Amino acid sequence: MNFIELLQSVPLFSEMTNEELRTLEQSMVIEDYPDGHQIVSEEHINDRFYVLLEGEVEITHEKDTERGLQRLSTMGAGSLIGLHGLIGHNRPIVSCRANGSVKAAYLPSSAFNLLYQYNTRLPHHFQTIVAKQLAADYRNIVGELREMMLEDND
Amino acid sequence: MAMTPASFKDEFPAIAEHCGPGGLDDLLAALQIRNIQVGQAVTTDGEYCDSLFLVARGKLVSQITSDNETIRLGSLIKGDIFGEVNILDPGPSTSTVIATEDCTLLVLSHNAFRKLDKPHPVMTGNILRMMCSIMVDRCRVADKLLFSKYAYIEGITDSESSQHPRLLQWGRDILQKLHGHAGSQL
Repeated sequence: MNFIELLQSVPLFSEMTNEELRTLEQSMVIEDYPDGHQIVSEEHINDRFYVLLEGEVEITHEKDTERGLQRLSTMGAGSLIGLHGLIGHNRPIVSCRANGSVKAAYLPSSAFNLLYQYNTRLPHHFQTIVAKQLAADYRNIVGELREMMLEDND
Repeated sequence: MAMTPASFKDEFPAIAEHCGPGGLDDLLAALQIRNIQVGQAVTTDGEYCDSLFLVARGKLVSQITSDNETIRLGSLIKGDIFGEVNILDPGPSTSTVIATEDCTLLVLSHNAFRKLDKPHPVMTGNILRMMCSIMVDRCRVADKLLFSKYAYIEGITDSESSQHPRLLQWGRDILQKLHGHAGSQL
């Protein structure tokens, strides 16, 4: 499966045209990571947005906790990692480590900004994808908190 | 109540700064003016909404409600905006917003915003990025608070948690921040 086919298999990218995906292909870097490789760390500012193409990553949280390492979840192919890094350059809240061999494509925020200068439609489409994912994340957090609050109030 | 480009710039500078002269005119044309009477709901928790709301006049309150209690999240006044999530991704509202005074709102629907894409892609792209940035900040704050309190919650038994005032207050704090009503702390 080539890069474009891999991206097309990710639901959020399925509506992109082949031309847009080709432009994206030129802007993204594909890398293979060995088992245990730390892809995103809470200790370092992340400015890359990753699309997990093959394999599985483990999401963990360690910083600022008394309990040490917490394993939060695992994510598989098609998952998006580092959305927040694309928007604001901050240290991530969680870390992300390869669980077995992993293939991922990443887009540096500098490349994302360059796309805005040379092409208006693709970054717009990409920004819309980011916005939808953020909105979904936001709704999930609010939903969980609201459920907890309302249960506690009953 | 017509809004001129100059008054829009004064009242909503965060949005206006992304608009060129032609873009601002078209954005103003895309905004619908809605007058809301005191007590009337603008959005209802869980119900579909696809719009961003800009408060041009009056005061509103944002809240969520259970069978037994209403949790007030904060107030919205002239110059505030709400509905960022819904214009980005139309779907269920995350809170109920009710007018506590007669209000005038400027309403920008998802479709009206998307129609501005073609003539003003830079403007809409920048506004989109601004709203994404707001969402990222709120999610980061919520995540941080969630993690920082995680151990504390785990130390509370189920029977204690249902009546634990500090836990309830903590949950309220996070919800308020998520809805942008504690901006100074973001």
